[in-house]
Amino acid sequence: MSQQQKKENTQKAIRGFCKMMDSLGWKYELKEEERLILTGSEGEEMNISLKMVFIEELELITVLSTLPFEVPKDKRLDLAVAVCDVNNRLANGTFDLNISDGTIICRLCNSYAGSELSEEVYKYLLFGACHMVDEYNDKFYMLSKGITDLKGFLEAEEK
Amino acid sequence: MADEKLLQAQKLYAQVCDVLDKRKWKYDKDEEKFVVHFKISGEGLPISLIVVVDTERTLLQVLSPLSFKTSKEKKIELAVAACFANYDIADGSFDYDMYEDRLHYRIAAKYADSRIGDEFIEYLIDWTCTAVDTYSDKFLALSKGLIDFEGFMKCK
Repeated sequence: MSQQQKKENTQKAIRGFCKMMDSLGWKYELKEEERLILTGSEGEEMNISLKMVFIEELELITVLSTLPFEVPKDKRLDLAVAVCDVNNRLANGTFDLNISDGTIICRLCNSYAGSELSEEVYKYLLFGACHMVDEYNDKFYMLSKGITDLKGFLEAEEK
Repeated sequence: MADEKLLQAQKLYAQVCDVLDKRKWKYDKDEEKFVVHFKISGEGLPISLIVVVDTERTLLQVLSPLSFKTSKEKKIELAVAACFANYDIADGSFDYDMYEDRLHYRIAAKYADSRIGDEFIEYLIDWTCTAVDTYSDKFLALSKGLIDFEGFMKCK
Protein backbone atom coordinates (compact mmCIF):
# COMPACT_ATOMS: atom_id res chain seq x y z
CA MET A 1 0.00 0.00 0.00
CA SER A 2 1.59 3.27 -1.13
CA GLN A 3 1.71 6.33 1.09
CA GLN A 4 -0.52 8.15 -1.39
CA GLN A 5 -3.09 5.35 -1.21
CA LYS A 6 -3.01 5.45 2.59
CA LYS A 7 -3.53 9.20 2.47
CA GLU A 8 -6.51 8.83 0.15
CA ASN A 9 -8.01 6.07 2.29
CA THR A 10 -7.59 8.24 5.38
CA GLN A 11 -9.30 11.22 3.72
CA LYS A 12 -12.12 8.92 2.64
CA ALA A 13 -12.50 7.60 6.20
CA ILE A 14 -12.56 11.13 7.66
CA ARG A 15 -15.18 12.20 5.10
CA GLY A 16 -17.23 9.07 5.83
CA PHE A 17 -17.16 9.70 9.55
CA CYS A 18 -18.14 13.37 9.16
CA LYS A 19 -20.92 12.47 6.72
CA MET A 20 -22.35 10.02 9.23
CA MET A 21 -22.32 12.68 11.99
CA ASP A 22 -23.83 15.27 9.62
CA SER A 23 -26.68 12.89 8.84
CA LEU A 24 -27.39 12.66 12.57
CA GLY A 25 -27.12 16.43 13.09
CA TRP A 26 -24.26 15.66 15.48
CA LYS A 27 -22.00 18.64 16.25
CA TYR A 28 -18.24 18.22 15.93
CA GLU A 29 -15.02 20.05 15.17
CA LEU A 30 -12.88 18.73 12.34
CA LYS A 31 -9.14 19.42 12.48
CA GLU A 32 -8.30 18.25 8.99
CA GLU A 33 -4.54 18.78 9.05
CA GLU A 34 -4.24 16.87 12.31
CA ARG A 35 -6.63 14.17 11.02
CA LEU A 36 -8.72 14.64 14.13
CA ILE A 37 -12.41 15.03 14.98
CA LEU A 38 -13.45 16.41 18.36
CA THR A 39 -16.93 15.92 19.70
CA GLY A 40 -18.86 14.99 22.80
CA SER A 41 -22.09 13.73 24.22
CA GLU A 42 -24.11 14.01 27.39
CA GLY A 43 -23.93 10.74 29.29
CA GLU A 44 -26.45 9.62 31.89
CA GLU A 45 -23.99 10.31 34.70
CA MET A 46 -21.22 12.48 33.24
CA ASN A 47 -20.50 14.34 30.01
CA ILE A 48 -18.47 12.40 27.47
CA SER A 49 -15.69 13.95 25.40
CA LEU A 50 -14.64 12.08 22.29
CA LYS A 51 -11.62 12.37 20.04
CA MET A 52 -11.42 10.45 16.75
CA VAL A 53 -7.84 10.10 15.61
CA PHE A 54 -7.13 8.84 12.08
CA ILE A 55 -3.68 7.25 12.00
CA GLU A 56 -2.67 7.37 8.35
CA GLU A 57 0.35 5.08 8.66
CA LEU A 58 -1.72 2.26 10.18
CA GLU A 59 -4.98 3.15 8.39
CA LEU A 60 -6.64 3.05 11.77
CA ILE A 61 -9.49 5.02 13.37
CA THR A 62 -9.01 5.38 17.10
CA VAL A 63 -11.90 6.73 19.14
CA LEU A 64 -10.63 7.96 22.49
CA SER A 65 -12.52 9.26 25.48
CA THR A 66 -10.65 10.38 28.57
CA LEU A 67 -12.79 9.90 31.67
CA PRO A 68 -13.33 13.22 33.50
CA PHE A 69 -11.47 12.37 36.73
CA GLU A 70 -8.06 11.21 37.89
CA VAL A 71 -7.59 8.14 40.02
CA PRO A 72 -5.73 9.05 43.23
CA LYS A 73 -2.42 7.28 43.80
CA ASP A 74 -3.69 5.13 46.66
CA LYS A 75 -6.45 3.67 44.46
CA ARG A 76 -4.49 2.95 41.29
CA LEU A 77 -3.76 -0.71 42.09
CA ASP A 78 -7.45 -1.34 42.76
CA LEU A 79 -8.33 0.41 39.51
CA ALA A 80 -5.74 -1.64 37.60
CA VAL A 81 -7.46 -4.82 38.75
CA ALA A 82 -10.93 -3.38 38.00
CA VAL A 83 -9.90 -2.20 34.52
CA CYS A 84 -8.45 -5.64 33.72
CA ASP A 85 -11.65 -7.29 34.89
CA VAL A 86 -13.75 -5.05 32.65
CA ASN A 87 -11.46 -5.42 29.62
CA ASN A 88 -11.64 -9.18 29.94
CA ARG A 89 -15.41 -8.98 29.52
CA LEU A 90 -15.44 -6.76 26.43
CA ALA A 91 -15.75 -8.13 22.89
CA ASN A 92 -14.25 -4.95 21.45
CA GLY A 93 -12.58 -1.85 22.81
CA THR A 94 -10.60 -1.35 25.96
CA PHE A 95 -10.08 0.91 28.96
CA ASP A 96 -6.51 2.08 29.41
CA LEU A 97 -5.33 3.15 32.86
CA ASN A 98 -2.24 5.32 32.92
CA ILE A 99 -0.69 4.11 36.12
CA SER A 100 1.62 7.17 36.28
CA ASP A 101 -0.98 9.93 36.22
CA GLY A 102 -4.22 8.11 37.08
CA THR A 103 -6.13 8.91 33.90
CA ILE A 104 -8.41 6.32 32.30
CA ILE A 105 -9.05 6.39 28.57
CA CYS A 106 -11.70 4.44 26.72
CA ARG A 107 -10.31 3.32 23.36
CA LEU A 108 -12.24 1.80 20.46
CA CYS A 109 -10.36 1.24 17.19
CA ASN A 110 -11.18 0.08 13.69
CA SER A 111 -8.84 -0.64 10.83
CA TYR A 112 -9.73 0.66 7.37
CA ALA A 113 -6.61 -0.80 5.73
CA GLY A 114 -7.33 -1.38 2.03
CA SER A 115 -11.03 -1.14 2.81
CA GLU A 116 -14.04 1.11 2.56
CA LEU A 117 -16.02 1.18 5.77
CA SER A 118 -19.79 1.58 5.83
CA GLU A 119 -21.82 4.21 7.64
CA GLU A 120 -22.84 1.45 10.06
CA VAL A 121 -19.23 0.99 11.17
CA TYR A 122 -18.77 4.72 11.78
CA LYS A 123 -22.01 4.79 13.79
CA TYR A 124 -20.90 1.78 15.76
CA LEU A 125 -17.64 3.51 16.70
CA LEU A 126 -19.39 6.71 17.79
CA PHE A 127 -22.17 5.08 19.79
CA GLY A 128 -20.04 2.15 20.94
CA ALA A 129 -17.52 4.44 22.61
CA CYS A 130 -20.32 6.51 24.20
CA HIS A 131 -21.94 3.34 25.48
CA MET A 132 -18.68 1.99 26.94
CA VAL A 133 -17.99 5.25 28.77
CA ASP A 134 -21.56 5.62 29.98
CA GLU A 135 -21.55 2.06 31.26
CA TYR A 136 -18.33 2.29 33.24
CA ASN A 137 -17.34 5.86 34.07
CA ASP A 138 -19.40 6.13 37.23
CA LYS A 139 -18.35 2.65 38.38
CA PHE A 140 -14.66 3.52 37.99
CA TYR A 141 -15.32 6.91 39.60
CA MET A 142 -16.95 5.40 42.68
CA LEU A 143 -14.11 2.93 43.07
CA SER A 144 -11.52 5.67 42.73
CA LYS A 145 -13.31 7.78 45.36
CA GLY A 146 -13.63 4.85 47.78
CA ILE A 147 -17.44 4.90 47.58
CA THR A 148 -17.28 1.24 46.49
CA ASP A 149 -14.45 -1.17 47.21
CA LEU A 150 -12.73 -3.54 44.79
CA LYS A 151 -14.54 -6.59 46.14
CA GLY A 152 -17.91 -4.89 45.59
CA PHE A 153 -16.89 -3.76 42.12
CA LEU A 154 -15.81 -7.26 41.05
CA GLU A 155 -18.89 -8.90 42.53
CA ALA A 156 -21.18 -6.46 40.73
CA GLU A 157 -19.41 -7.17 37.43
CA GLU A 158 -19.67 -10.91 37.99
CA LYS A 159 -23.50 -10.70 38.19
CA MET B 1 -31.05 -9.14 7.84
CA ALA B 2 -29.92 -12.37 9.51
CA ASP B 3 -29.29 -13.91 6.08
CA GLU B 4 -27.37 -10.82 5.02
CA LYS B 5 -25.16 -11.08 8.12
CA LEU B 6 -24.55 -14.75 7.37
CA LEU B 7 -23.59 -14.01 3.78
CA GLN B 8 -21.18 -11.30 4.89
CA ALA B 9 -19.63 -13.66 7.45
CA GLN B 10 -19.25 -16.47 4.90
CA LYS B 11 -17.57 -14.13 2.45
CA LEU B 12 -15.18 -12.71 5.04
CA TYR B 13 -14.36 -16.17 6.42
CA ALA B 14 -13.42 -17.36 2.93
CA GLN B 15 -11.28 -14.25 2.53
CA VAL B 16 -9.49 -14.93 5.85
CA CYS B 17 -8.68 -18.48 4.68
CA ASP B 18 -7.51 -17.11 1.33
CA VAL B 19 -5.14 -14.63 3.03
CA LEU B 20 -3.63 -17.47 5.10
CA ASP B 21 -3.41 -19.73 2.02
CA LYS B 22 -1.53 -17.03 0.13
CA ARG B 23 0.97 -16.95 2.99
CA LYS B 24 1.13 -20.76 2.90
CA TRP B 25 0.30 -20.78 6.62
CA LYS B 26 -1.20 -23.99 7.96
CA TYR B 27 -4.37 -23.65 10.01
CA ASP B 28 -7.31 -25.59 11.44
CA LYS B 29 -10.84 -24.61 10.53
CA ASP B 30 -14.11 -24.70 12.36
CA GLU B 31 -16.30 -23.74 9.43
CA GLU B 32 -19.58 -23.90 11.32
CA LYS B 33 -18.38 -21.28 13.81
CA PHE B 34 -16.35 -19.28 11.25
CA VAL B 35 -13.16 -19.80 13.27
CA VAL B 36 -9.61 -20.62 12.23
CA HIS B 37 -6.73 -21.32 14.57
CA PHE B 38 -3.03 -21.74 14.01
CA LYS B 39 0.36 -21.31 15.64
CA ILE B 40 3.41 -19.43 14.49
CA SER B 41 6.90 -19.10 15.91
CA GLY B 42 7.75 -15.69 17.28
CA GLU B 43 11.17 -14.41 18.28
CA GLY B 44 10.29 -15.45 21.81
CA LEU B 45 7.48 -17.80 22.78
CA PRO B 46 5.30 -19.56 20.18
CA ILE B 47 2.17 -17.58 19.25
CA SER B 48 -1.31 -19.11 19.06
CA LEU B 49 -3.86 -17.24 17.00
CA ILE B 50 -7.61 -17.66 16.80
CA VAL B 51 -9.40 -15.70 14.10
CA VAL B 52 -13.15 -15.40 14.63
CA VAL B 53 -15.74 -13.99 12.28
CA ASP B 54 -18.43 -12.98 14.78
CA THR B 55 -21.57 -13.14 12.65
CA GLU B 56 -23.90 -11.57 15.20
CA ARG B 57 -21.69 -8.59 16.04
CA THR B 58 -20.23 -8.36 12.50
CA LEU B 59 -16.78 -8.22 14.09
CA LEU B 60 -13.57 -9.80 12.89
CA GLN B 61 -11.73 -10.73 16.05
CA VAL B 62 -8.21 -12.07 16.51
CA LEU B 63 -7.39 -13.63 19.87
CA SER B 64 -4.05 -14.87 21.05
CA PRO B 65 -3.98 -16.75 24.36
CA LEU B 66 -0.51 -16.56 25.89
CA SER B 67 1.08 -19.96 26.27
CA PHE B 68 1.42 -20.06 30.07
CA LYS B 69 -0.70 -19.89 33.20
CA THR B 70 0.01 -16.86 35.34
CA SER B 71 1.00 -16.99 38.99
CA LYS B 72 -1.79 -16.32 41.50
CA GLU B 73 0.73 -14.57 43.75
CA LYS B 74 1.52 -11.99 41.06
CA LYS B 75 -2.05 -10.89 40.38
CA ILE B 76 -1.57 -7.19 41.21
CA GLU B 77 1.74 -6.92 39.34
CA LEU B 78 0.23 -8.58 36.26
CA ALA B 79 -2.85 -6.34 36.35
CA VAL B 80 -0.65 -3.25 36.51
CA ALA B 81 1.59 -4.63 33.76
CA ALA B 82 -1.43 -5.34 31.52
CA CYS B 83 -2.57 -1.72 32.03
CA PHE B 84 0.92 -0.47 31.22
CA ALA B 85 1.12 -2.57 28.04
CA ASN B 86 -2.37 -1.56 26.91
CA TYR B 87 -1.63 2.11 27.43
CA ASP B 88 1.42 1.67 25.21
CA ILE B 89 -0.17 -0.05 22.23
CA ALA B 90 -2.25 1.69 19.57
CA ASP B 91 -4.71 -1.12 18.94
CA GLY B 92 -5.98 -4.19 20.78
CA SER B 93 -5.44 -5.12 24.41
CA PHE B 94 -3.97 -7.69 26.71
CA ASP B 95 -6.88 -9.09 28.70
CA TYR B 96 -6.04 -10.61 32.04
CA ASP B 97 -8.41 -13.24 33.40
CA MET B 98 -7.61 -13.24 37.10
CA TYR B 99 -9.99 -16.10 37.80
CA GLU B 100 -8.46 -18.48 35.26
CA ASP B 101 -4.89 -17.13 35.62
CA ARG B 102 -4.66 -16.51 31.89
CA LEU B 103 -3.65 -13.64 29.64
CA HIS B 104 -4.72 -13.21 26.06
CA TYR B 105 -4.36 -10.54 23.45
CA ARG B 106 -7.51 -9.37 21.68
CA ILE B 107 -7.99 -7.14 18.66
CA ALA B 108 -11.14 -6.64 16.60
CA ALA B 109 -12.65 -4.57 13.83
CA LYS B 110 -16.22 -4.19 12.64
CA TYR B 111 -16.88 -5.08 9.03
CA ALA B 112 -20.67 -4.62 8.68
CA ASP B 113 -21.72 -3.68 5.12
CA SER B 114 -18.14 -2.68 4.29
CA ARG B 115 -15.84 -3.49 1.39
CA ILE B 116 -13.03 -5.34 3.13
CA GLY B 117 -9.57 -5.64 1.59
CA ASP B 118 -7.02 -8.32 2.40
CA GLU B 119 -4.94 -5.64 4.15
CA PHE B 120 -7.65 -5.34 6.81
CA ILE B 121 -7.23 -9.03 7.71
CA GLU B 122 -3.44 -8.94 7.40
CA TYR B 123 -3.28 -5.92 9.70
CA LEU B 124 -5.21 -7.64 12.50
CA ILE B 125 -3.10 -10.80 12.29
CA ASP B 126 0.26 -9.03 11.96
CA TRP B 127 -0.51 -6.52 14.72
CA THR B 128 -1.41 -9.39 17.04
CA CYS B 129 1.84 -11.20 16.27
CA THR B 130 3.88 -8.05 16.94
CA ALA B 131 2.10 -7.19 20.20
CA VAL B 132 2.32 -10.74 21.54
CA ASP B 133 5.92 -11.14 20.43
CA THR B 134 6.82 -7.89 22.17
CA TYR B 135 5.13 -8.61 25.48
CA SER B 136 4.58 -12.35 26.07
CA ASP B 137 8.05 -13.13 27.42
CA LYS B 138 7.90 -10.03 29.66
CA PHE B 139 4.59 -11.17 31.14
CA LEU B 140 6.10 -14.64 31.67
CA ALA B 141 9.19 -13.21 33.38
CA LEU B 142 6.98 -11.03 35.61
CA SER B 143 4.71 -13.94 36.45
CA LYS B 144 7.71 -16.11 37.36
CA GLY B 145 9.24 -13.37 39.50
CA LEU B 146 12.29 -13.03 37.25
CA ILE B 147 11.59 -9.31 36.88
CA ASP B 148 9.47 -6.84 38.87
CA PHE B 149 7.12 -4.20 37.45
CA GLU B 150 9.97 -1.69 37.13
CA GLY B 151 11.81 -4.28 35.08
CA PHE B 152 8.72 -4.93 32.99
CA MET B 153 8.52 -1.23 32.10
CA LYS B 154 12.21 -1.00 31.29
CA CYS B 155 12.60 -4.07 29.09
CA LYS B 156 10.06 -2.95 26.49
